[in-house]
Amino acid sequence: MVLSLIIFMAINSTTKGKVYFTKNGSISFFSKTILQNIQADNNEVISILNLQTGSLQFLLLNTAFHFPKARMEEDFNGNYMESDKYPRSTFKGRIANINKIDSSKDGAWQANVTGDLMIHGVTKNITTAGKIIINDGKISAAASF
Amino acid sequence: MGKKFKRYVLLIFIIIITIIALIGYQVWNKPHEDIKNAVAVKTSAIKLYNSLTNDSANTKALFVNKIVAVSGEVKQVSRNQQNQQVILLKTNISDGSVNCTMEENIKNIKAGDMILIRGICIGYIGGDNDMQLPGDVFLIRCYPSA
Repeated sequence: MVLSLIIFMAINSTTKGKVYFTKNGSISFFSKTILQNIQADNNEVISILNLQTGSLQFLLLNTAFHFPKARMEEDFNGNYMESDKYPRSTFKGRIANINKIDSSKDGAWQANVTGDLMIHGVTKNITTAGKIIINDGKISAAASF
Repeated sequence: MGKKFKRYVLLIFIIIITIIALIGYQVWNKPHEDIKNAVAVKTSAIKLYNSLTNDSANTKALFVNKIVAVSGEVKQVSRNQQNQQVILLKTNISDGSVNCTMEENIKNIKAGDMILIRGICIGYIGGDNDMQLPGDVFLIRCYPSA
């Protein structure tokens, strides 16, 4: 089973100095199985990126994952995620090479992210490589793992 | 056993299997909850935000994971990553809103308009205390309401 998770910060992010945030960031997962594709989108992810310190956070409600199949969504929130017990999933981490990213110029930069991912009450420290894309003063971050 | 008897058993067996298959198919393919025609809990954006940031779990349960019809003033209209319309409704907190992702877009809407929106209220996600960023109350699968 191949699982890929894609994180995007919405294009209409807001800034407070060097801090970019959005409350409608997007996280999707996709997995191919023999019977069905498992796919869901969550467009209500609070994402906060501090370009100065490299700190990257996201917080989301598990019930916001929308599946094309209603039954799959029910099963996900029921047996699998136990969303009434664990309503939130979070990530708190840092982009290690933030100093190498020049936010004043447009471009795509590789971002090496390390942090704590909390899902279903379990916290795991993960490291992954992603991209930070700067276009016309707007920022989006993408990672898949 | 006579041939006719065997045939009857086989026929009944096939009918039972078909019924089970049909039921299974219905359950697997059942549609998402109907939001447009459902009975919704009516409230205002300001009340809803206050309730989900202050009240007890029992009061919050009136709204969380329920279909809610929220009235309020539009703070901002934008699009998300999947080009769905996102409407923010004003609350008493300047950086906090009732955040509505629309399943059916509302035409001719802009900041300052008064609007009634219905959708599933999934709850409140807190922001960041260090940054003094308050969170939002999120509604998903939203439709304009009469």
